[in-house]
Amino acid sequence: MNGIGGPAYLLEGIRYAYPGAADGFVFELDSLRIEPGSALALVGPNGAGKTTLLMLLALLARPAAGRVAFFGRDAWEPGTNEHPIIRRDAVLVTHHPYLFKGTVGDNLAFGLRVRGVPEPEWADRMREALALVELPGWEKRQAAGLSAGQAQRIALARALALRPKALLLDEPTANIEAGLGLRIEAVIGESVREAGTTIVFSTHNFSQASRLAGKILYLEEGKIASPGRFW
Amino acid sequence: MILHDLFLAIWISFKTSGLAALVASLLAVPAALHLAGNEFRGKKAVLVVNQTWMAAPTVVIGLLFYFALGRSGPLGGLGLLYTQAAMTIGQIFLILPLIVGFSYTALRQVDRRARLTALALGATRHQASRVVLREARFPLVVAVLAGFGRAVSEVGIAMMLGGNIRGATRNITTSIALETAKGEFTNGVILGAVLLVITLGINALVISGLRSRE
Repeated sequence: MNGIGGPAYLLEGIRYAYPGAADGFVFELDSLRIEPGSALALVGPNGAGKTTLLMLLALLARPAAGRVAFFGRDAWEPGTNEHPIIRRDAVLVTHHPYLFKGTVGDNLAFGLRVRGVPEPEWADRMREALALVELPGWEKRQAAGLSAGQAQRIALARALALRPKALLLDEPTANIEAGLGLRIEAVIGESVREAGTTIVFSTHNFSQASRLAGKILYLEEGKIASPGRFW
Repeated sequence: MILHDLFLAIWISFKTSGLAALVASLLAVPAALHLAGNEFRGKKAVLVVNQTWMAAPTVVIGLLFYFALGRSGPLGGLGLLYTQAAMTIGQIFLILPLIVGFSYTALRQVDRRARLTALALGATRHQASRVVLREARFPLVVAVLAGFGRAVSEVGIAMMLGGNIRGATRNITTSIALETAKGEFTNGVILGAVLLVITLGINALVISGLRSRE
């Protein structure tokens, strides 16, 4: 299957329980279809399962049951071990992103290197991504000691530099001041429109969800509470 | 003690202990990585055994290998007793739990998000493990240096498995023991100072090299 014309994501019969979770939290999802080049917002209270769903979409968490297909490829098909390869077309930026020791440039180069992007392309991609998050020329800065907001922008740049098919963002503007947050939203929106990137992001901000997403999922206690469409 | 003997003892010390630290690190660091990154049945027991093994006296390890490598022992046929190889083998078993323990602690302290971030950016499991090792490189090097320090300064294994043979298995610590037994305390003190200065030099060189790269 090549997935041409199909959904970016197709999740069916998902059941996921945290290994050793004391509170017995279980994430369950009957069905979810995400179209390529669309933006989906995940909203809901803390502990609703937003991050869990993003982890499942990033293929960083394996469901106990169910199917996750990414651009037509079944990530967890029994007998195959393709998820590390399939995973390379998606990037997850976590709520409290981790920056590796070294420079900002080292951080941006990491994903490019492991994905086998030719080295001559790195500088341009890094420059472009840093400009998008309004931190141009930061390649040589040390990652240690950056503020939470700066780290979040670097992490976003690190993801944008990879030009993934799917960009998964866990509260992408949570640590960023309001004005810049709006500009980052614009970058995300532009990524959907111009590059056709599929974006799934979690947020506590309903107005952000309605501004940015074509579809909003409200999660509660590990389940979809009300699928909705704002426009 | 003539100068030639001194240089030979230094060489034997650093050769056997350096090799022991290298081999033990190649075994210990992956083991620590596995222990730090996985939860499995019996993990606590493994850690307790390792912790206990860390406290094993050098003479006990020396004695065990003396029986194993002795002519009537199960490995007697290898003819390793009273050789530098026997000293190295004994020292590997001496410092293995130490490097596992220190490396485990170092790797557990690496932010768990490091591995997740590497995977999220497209790294394979192997590449993500390398990221974790890189993030903990400073304490890992300290763990290896601690292992080397323990090996180069021990005397029980070197004496029992090496036999303190002049020019063959006599290292700095067994030389110190010999000179002290002969009443040549000045020689013993000089040898001790030489051992400390060289070990200090190695530690300073490695740590400053690592700091400059950071």
